[in-house]
Amino acid sequence: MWTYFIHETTTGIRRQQVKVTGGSFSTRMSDIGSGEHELVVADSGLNRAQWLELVHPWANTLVQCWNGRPVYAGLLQGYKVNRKTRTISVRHKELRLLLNRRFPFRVGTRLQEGHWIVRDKSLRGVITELVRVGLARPDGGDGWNVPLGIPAGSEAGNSGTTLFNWDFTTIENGIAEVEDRDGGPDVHFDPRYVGAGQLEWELKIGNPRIGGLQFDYVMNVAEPRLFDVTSEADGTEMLTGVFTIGKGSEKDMRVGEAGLVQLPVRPKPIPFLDSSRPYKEVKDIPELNGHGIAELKRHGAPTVQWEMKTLTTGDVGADQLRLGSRIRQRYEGDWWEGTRTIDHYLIGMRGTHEFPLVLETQELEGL
Amino acid sequence: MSGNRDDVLRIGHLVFWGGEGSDGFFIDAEGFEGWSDAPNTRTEEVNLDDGDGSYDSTEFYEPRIITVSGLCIAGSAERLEHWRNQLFTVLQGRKQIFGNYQGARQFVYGRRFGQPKFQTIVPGSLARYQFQIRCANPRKYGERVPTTVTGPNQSQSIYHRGNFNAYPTLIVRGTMPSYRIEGPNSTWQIARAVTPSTPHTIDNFSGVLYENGQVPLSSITSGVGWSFPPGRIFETHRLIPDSGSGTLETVLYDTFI
Repeated sequence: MWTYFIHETTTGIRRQQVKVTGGSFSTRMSDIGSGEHELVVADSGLNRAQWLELVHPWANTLVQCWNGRPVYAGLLQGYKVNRKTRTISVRHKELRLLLNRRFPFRVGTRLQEGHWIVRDKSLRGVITELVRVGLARPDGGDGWNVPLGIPAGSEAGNSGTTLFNWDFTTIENGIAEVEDRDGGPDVHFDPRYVGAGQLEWELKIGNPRIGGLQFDYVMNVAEPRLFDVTSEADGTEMLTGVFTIGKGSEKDMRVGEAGLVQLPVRPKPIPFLDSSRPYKEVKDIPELNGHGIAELKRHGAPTVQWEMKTLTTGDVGADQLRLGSRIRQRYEGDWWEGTRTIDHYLIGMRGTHEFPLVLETQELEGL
Repeated sequence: MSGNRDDVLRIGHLVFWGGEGSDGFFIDAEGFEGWSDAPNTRTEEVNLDDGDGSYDSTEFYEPRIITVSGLCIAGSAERLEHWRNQLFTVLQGRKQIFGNYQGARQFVYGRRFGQPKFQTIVPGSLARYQFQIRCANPRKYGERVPTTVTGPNQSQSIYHRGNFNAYPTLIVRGTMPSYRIEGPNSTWQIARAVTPSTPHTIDNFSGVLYENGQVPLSSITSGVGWSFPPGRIFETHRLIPDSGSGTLETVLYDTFI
């Protein structure tokens, strides 16, 4: 059963269970998911002042649960009171949005010459440190920090990053830059309940993929647990070569590159496809080249995205499927897939207040 | 209706009689639908992609629609108009509606639905009426289940004689800064203090905690509530204070569909 709660964003404490007449949500790895829900005001027992407190943007987070376990949590962005239907529709977005509004410094603490630096960390370690400064500072105080499940230290390695105060790089851009590096990990803030029902976001950083349980689905049976399966290939972003544009301007501009010298022949040769990508905060040529290799790996072939539906009422409920879960499809004598097993990586979920849940996956093979 | 003159249905102060009489509202032989019947069912149909039939998804009852029709009998035109006005008076707003049918006394909560009718057949003595009631919650409630008020950590034995899931209302009294209530498959964790002047009422149907009619925010920190399926006795139902002392009273009705 779907249930809905409003929690205080900065403490995670549950404020109220609410009823909805409709709604939808989407959650996506390394991205910012969003949703909208219509809350029933009639017969709630709450007065206007209490409702206004509950739907106050940013201060509150809407949590959609299946069997009491959070599937989606979104920070309220705004609300619309509908007098006719006696409902309040709220819009919300996932926690990562907050990192768009955070610099490594705060108003009142910034020095023009300063910078925020992390070094001798793995890429995972760099992201942990970025998230810590963005959402879990030891000196954060009220209103800066949110309840996070984040490791105490951070993994050592030979990577790092520097955010200069004069660049005004947001934490979100800092994280996205690390995700985009060669071998850059996937990042997801997974909502969960801890202790006495407090909401917390567990920081999941992949290696480079986030780990998860595997769920097996046999496809060629009378009542398969996955249906409406589609796979879509998109070659719009394909590359055979890329220039990565770094710091500086005109002659002094740092530029990295990566490319194929000979074209791959599969099944027909594709024409050369060059492109340039901005990495304006990077000044190190090897690092720029690394970004180029990462771009090439990501866009060397068409992106294949799968979508499939499952019923939340089925054997595997919406509470068990987490982003990062592995979906194994077994086909046998299928009209299209023939006989083969396809391992998928769950990168997104979309749902409503009803039973079908849309899973967005990528094939793990070759990734 | 035929035979004995029974008060089949009561809405507010107005009685709709079974059987026969000379003054008031009487229900036709086939003029009482939706009370004994189960409500309509809805299901979310998801067809199989490549097979016969559809997925076996959960089904639910829709709201209960009760249709009442019959004759209104009066001794004068004024009396007939009086009954007409009374009918449309009791059909205002959300009403607790009592039925006494086939030996069972039960009640529902509902509102008028569709177009209520009152058509005079014989001026001054006879009119035909019809109205519908829509019960958003399709359950019918019977007798209140006898329960005992228990102290801290004392478990209650709960059952009911209905045929559908029954949602209890919990009344907590005493002096406690915070407490838990353990049910069959969930536990309410309450972070708000109970005092002798502010007892708590927790409605398991809506998951809302009331304090003197108000709903204080941030009082329930976890729990989703529970219901009692019919035909079983539940032994796990108790109040666990974090400190202090208090009592738990469970209000539950035999619940029918």
